[in-house]
Amino acid sequence: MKALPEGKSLGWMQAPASWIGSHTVRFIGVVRVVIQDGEGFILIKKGKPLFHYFKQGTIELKGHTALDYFNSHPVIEFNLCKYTPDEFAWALKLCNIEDHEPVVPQEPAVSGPVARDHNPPSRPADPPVAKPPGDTRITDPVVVSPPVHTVGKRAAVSGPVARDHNPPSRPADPPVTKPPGDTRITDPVVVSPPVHTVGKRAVVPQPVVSDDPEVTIISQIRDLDGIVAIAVFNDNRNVIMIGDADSEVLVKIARKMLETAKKITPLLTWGPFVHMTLQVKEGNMIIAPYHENYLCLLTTRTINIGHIRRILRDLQQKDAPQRVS
Amino acid sequence: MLKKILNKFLILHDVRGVIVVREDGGIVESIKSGMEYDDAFMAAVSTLVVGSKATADTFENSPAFMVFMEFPDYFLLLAPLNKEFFLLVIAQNTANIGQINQEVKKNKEDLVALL
Repeated sequence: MKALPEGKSLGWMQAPASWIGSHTVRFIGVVRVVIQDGEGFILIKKGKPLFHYFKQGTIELKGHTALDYFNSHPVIEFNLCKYTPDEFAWALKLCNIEDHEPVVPQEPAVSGPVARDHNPPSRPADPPVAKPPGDTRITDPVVVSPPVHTVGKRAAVSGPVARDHNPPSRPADPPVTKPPGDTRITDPVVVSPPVHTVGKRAVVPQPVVSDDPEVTIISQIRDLDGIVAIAVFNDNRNVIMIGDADSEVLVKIARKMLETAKKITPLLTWGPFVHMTLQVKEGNMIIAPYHENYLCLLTTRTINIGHIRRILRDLQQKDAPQRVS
Repeated sequence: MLKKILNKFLILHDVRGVIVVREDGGIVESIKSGMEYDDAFMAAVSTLVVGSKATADTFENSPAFMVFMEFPDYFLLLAPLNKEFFLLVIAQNTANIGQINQEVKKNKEDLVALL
């Protein structure tokens, strides 16, 4: 695919792909999309997408396939680039599109507020999506896979696993003795992740049923697309662990990150650290202060930094009223 | 020449500094705008690189990694250039991460060629 005319950049944004069509009714140009290591575009004429394209390595997606790929991400990063009539005509030619309607000079391009951390509307269940081979970032709707982490192999982590699998039920940890009057550390709670099946709802034994609001909030985060596991931990122990990962390995890595964060923070004069994300090919490891403890999230690569920041902000907002009461 | 490329980051909205750093924490080149790099700051940079590498090595095959660390007003974005070198971007929280990432991708080859 030959490079399209550059156009005039109106700025980078993060929003669901569906946002683009509904907020570009006066826009004529190209929306350049960047997803991880791949790039693509949507050629748009007054809110009407004319051509979708995405390339990652040697893999090219065009038309509906590219659109489906964009839609498979809750939020994508993109740059709106406005075209002159000449540039637009040239772009149409490069995309082999015949457009007989003349292009009139453009008005202010984007309608509505432009927010970087836009809250995407809740989406219905995604249809099956074409994806480039080797792209493990899109979690398929239902994947039943064996757990990656086994008791005998805990030294290394091979990354996040597909979230929709049946984890082996594990017994609740034995009660831990805590100093009298220490109300900071709640007893450990292990909650099975939700199990998704097609057409039939499976019943999985719940090791511990908890009405703790904190567990409810954590469970809600665990249910978000792309979250593989979530844990609350402190310097001594794991407080809560929900998800498809070996809690000990997860928290071991989280503690290493925390150790680094604790060394760095006093060297800077920027105040306490808000969050730290380590991104590897398999996914993201995130740590953030959470009450007197720390939160640890393991996510797939479908979640980008902007999404992570929003989740953490939402969590703090949800938490605020409870703290007051 | 290296500074010229680093300057492409510095002109991005609310980016305050850019540093090329080795995997052992050694500083190769740095530029800044509206902030100071004192000894404590440089020690923090080295600690971030060395500590994050140690954490990433916990994963199988010691994968390439990127680190994002956020504070109330600033963030640090550590992106790999190759196995040996990293690019650290220091920016205010209002900076556009997508744009910074895109700039890293665009200039990665040129940066590596100069190292």
